[in-house]
Amino acid sequence: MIAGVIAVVLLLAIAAYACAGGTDYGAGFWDLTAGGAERGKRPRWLIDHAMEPVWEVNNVWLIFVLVIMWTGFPVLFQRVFTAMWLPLALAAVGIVLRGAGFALRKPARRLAGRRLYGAVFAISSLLTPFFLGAAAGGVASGRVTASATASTDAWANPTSVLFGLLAVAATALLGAVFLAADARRFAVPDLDGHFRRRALGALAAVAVLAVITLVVTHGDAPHVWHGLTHGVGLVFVVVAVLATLATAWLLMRPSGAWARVSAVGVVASAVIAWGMAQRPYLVPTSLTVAQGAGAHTTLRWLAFVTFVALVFVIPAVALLYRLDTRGELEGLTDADLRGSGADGES
Amino acid sequence: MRVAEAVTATRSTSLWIMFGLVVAVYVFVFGSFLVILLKMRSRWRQADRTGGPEAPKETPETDTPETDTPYGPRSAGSRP
Repeated sequence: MIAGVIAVVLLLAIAAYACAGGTDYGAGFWDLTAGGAERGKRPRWLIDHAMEPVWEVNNVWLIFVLVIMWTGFPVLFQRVFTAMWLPLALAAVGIVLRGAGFALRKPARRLAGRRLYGAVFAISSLLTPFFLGAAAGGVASGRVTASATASTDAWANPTSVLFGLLAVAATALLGAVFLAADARRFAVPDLDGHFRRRALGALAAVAVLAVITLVVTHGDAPHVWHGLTHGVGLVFVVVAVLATLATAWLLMRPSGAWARVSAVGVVASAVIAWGMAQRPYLVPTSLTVAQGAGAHTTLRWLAFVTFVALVFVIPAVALLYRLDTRGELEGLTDADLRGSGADGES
Repeated sequence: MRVAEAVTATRSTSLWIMFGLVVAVYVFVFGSFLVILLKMRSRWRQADRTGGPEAPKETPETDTPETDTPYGPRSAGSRP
């Protein structure tokens, strides 16, 4: 019973990281595709200022996921990190590099320096979600068995590649939707349109990739496919589809403040649908939640720690997100964006 | 459990490559940090000497150190 509760907490933490961290990685994705130094200057300004107050906090969720994994489900942790140490190590290197790139880009004054650190930040923002998604694909397709050794098959298979691409597309969607809202907050309507167009493109990519993933999992991850097309998994798939349609509708309007909620709904429901589809397995079909769970006492303490986090950490993080989305943490003024914006608008 | 029993089945070459990558990443990050810190120090020292914060010539006016970072050369008003 308690193992099931902790498994749900793990799934919710993964969904939270996909949404919060995803928004962050997405900002890096649009930084990469913003164009040259001149054309991409204003989008990059916006990205810098939009990310600044929250980019470190978003990794709280990743730490939470790792702690629950190694404390609550040590067998799962061992299997995942034995078979897929390479993509996970590359994701960790990516997280270090993007943090360093983001932090060092601002004080670097010369264009060459800014370009170098900006490129490090942006490329890491693309590779990290891909590798994390690929690792999730290795779990979903049941390749992380007890006898699995560290081989590329565990994470370089059709399901893993599609999960990785889906992760990148989802981060791009979240990043663009939140940046469009930030552009509205700073009253720069041209950047609002700029990011809403990109958000629609990313949404289309997410939809296409999701359909392809569903087709591929039919043969490659049959247990997950069955879960996604039946029962609770199907309910969350339907919610994700409805949220996708709502997001598309909201993104076509200039004042789509609710697009953020629906875009988070798309990604969170997709992650929860995947988790529900795996029931009752942690790794389909070789490790159930009950088999992978740690000792009963450990789980009880973990539940207590989760409760403490719920009371102390979550309200603080929620307040931070609320203040950030309302722009109360920002030193950025309209002049920062309009300074060179008057001639940049087309 | 002996060390030999606990060790991964991955080839040692791969592990050395990964170790080299991690070392290279941290050397790059720490090196960049030092270089930027020393540059900021000399920039602000210069700015303090010439009587207040000034944006370097190659950057636009809005791009002064104060808008970028919550630290930097003292403004003229706070000087003793």
